[in-house]
Amino acid sequence: MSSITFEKVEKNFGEINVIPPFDLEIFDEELVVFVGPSGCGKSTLLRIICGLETISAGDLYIGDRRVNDLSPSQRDIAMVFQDYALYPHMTVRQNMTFALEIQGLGQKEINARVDRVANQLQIVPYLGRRPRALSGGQRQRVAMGRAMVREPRAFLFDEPLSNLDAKLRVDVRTEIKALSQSLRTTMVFVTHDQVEAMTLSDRIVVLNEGIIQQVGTPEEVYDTPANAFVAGFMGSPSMNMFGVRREGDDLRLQDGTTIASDGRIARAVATTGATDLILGVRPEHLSVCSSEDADVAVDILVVEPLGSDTLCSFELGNKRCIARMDPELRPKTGDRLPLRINRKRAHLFEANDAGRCLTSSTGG
Amino acid sequence: MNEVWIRRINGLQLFIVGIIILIPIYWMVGSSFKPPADVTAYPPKFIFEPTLANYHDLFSTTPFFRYLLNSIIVAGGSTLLGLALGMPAAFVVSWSRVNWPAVLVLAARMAPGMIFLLPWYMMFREVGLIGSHISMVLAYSVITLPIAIWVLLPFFDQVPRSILEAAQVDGCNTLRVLWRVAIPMVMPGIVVTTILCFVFSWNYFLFALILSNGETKTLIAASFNFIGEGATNWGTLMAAATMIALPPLVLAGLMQRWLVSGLVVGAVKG
Repeated sequence: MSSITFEKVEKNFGEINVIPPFDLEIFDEELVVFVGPSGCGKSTLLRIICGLETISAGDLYIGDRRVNDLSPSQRDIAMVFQDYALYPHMTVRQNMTFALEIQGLGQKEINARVDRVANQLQIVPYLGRRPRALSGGQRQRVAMGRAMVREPRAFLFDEPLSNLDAKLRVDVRTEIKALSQSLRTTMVFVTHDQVEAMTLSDRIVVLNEGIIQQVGTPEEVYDTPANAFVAGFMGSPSMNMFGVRREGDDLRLQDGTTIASDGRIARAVATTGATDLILGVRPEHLSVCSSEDADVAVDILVVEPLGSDTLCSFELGNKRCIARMDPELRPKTGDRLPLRINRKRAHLFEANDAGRCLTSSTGG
Repeated sequence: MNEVWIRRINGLQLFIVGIIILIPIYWMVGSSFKPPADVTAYPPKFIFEPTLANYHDLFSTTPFFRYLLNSIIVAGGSTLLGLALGMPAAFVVSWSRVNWPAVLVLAARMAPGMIFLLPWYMMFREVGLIGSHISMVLAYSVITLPIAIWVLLPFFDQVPRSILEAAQVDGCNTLRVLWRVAIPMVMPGIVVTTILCFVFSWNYFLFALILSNGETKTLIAASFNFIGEGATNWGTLMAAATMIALPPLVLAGLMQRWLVSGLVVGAVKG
């Protein structure tokens, strides 16, 4: 069993508290992604798991074993680093056998493991090469191979795709996902890329300033964000956020546009006494409709065709917004389009620092 | 100023520096091949009939090869000791980013050697080590240790931290990280450090003069014998100086590429 459990784990660097008391259980064989902006503490948490950072307070368990005082070498955890951290003076094979030799495994067992993993990752032709003679993608595979031959209790990935070009990143992402399904080992993946988080994870942990904002499946985090931070961070392009003022059941944008409330939004409004709120609408939840059904009419400022969709930018409520449209519509810059907000998928947030989502708890 | 002039000025600077460095070497080597009467001739003789008399004199009147062996033992031993202590020290200073131990060692190196000599002399005398190779190897490590630390430090600083951390995660303790991962990665630095340590301790005169005896005298200390109170045998002294200078020069020449690149690392990062 290789679950990973944080119990009130804290990390201070001198006087600065970078991780306030942190509680989380990562289940056995689960792939959990820590996602958040730079400096949110996600890499620090990963380094705490593998023992490269000490814990200032609290307890960390790997399986049933408390590992606070164990060195990295005693934790039986493998890590894939952002820059791969391959040993440049060793061949690919030596990179992969290094940890096994330290473990004291027999040569036969070492060779069997290396050959099996090298075949699995298709790096057999490179086993005799040094890392400098490999491309970025090949190095990435070797780094994963080095971790896999150890057959560790858990794998940690520290933004391992960030040094790859866009196409390779997608390919390797798919490979990691496939690996996680076949290896059935606990994996913790750190990224600032919410697409990686969504595509890879069984569960996502969204972090900001060392504090968990939400833990959930990709669908939960995307569809029912706990607060405005999660809603804004997850999704590309980001969720459109409008400052709105409550007027009865309706919501009025800063430019005076009134958005008629329906049952769900109205129920959410009813849960708070606040007048100022934030209306969050994902780009795909704004759709072109007839003028009679429209909530707003907008002037398209920029059109970005992606092939599968077309992104259209416009201004609404004094804010730059984006709508994701069917490319068949062929919108053009300068067009005036009537748009309707999908109220079943829109969110209402408190307009304070916490930004609590009022619609998540009121159901669809 | 255009590029042609910059190149000319650079060339002139190189020429002047070259002359300043090369004239004493030329003078030393040339004098070692001059007949005794020509060595001190004034005006100096640039055209002379070369002779090996000074070298013959050097090898026949002094136990040159014993002194050579002593120099190799002392310079080699103190180089190894400096490396053995300096490598882990530089690694830990670089790893922990706590610089004060390295600064302290450097401060010790900056102090005049004479400061160390008296206490050492008394300590070594107490344990009966005066005149031994061991005492000199220990004493010369005061020269080699700071060199080892300060030359190796920027090399260790250049090793990506993630590689050392990967080794930790792979199961290495600190010593193994140093031995299996860090040292192989700073090998050019170790070559440079070895050369510098060897050359500096080879050429250091004061400790050997005081701590050696007739049996353990190093070449550089023995060369002092040629300077008499009344008459100095300049030709033989120059032959001895040439022979003393030869090993470091050959070593530096052979390792020139590594030496230059290594010193540049030190200059930029240190």
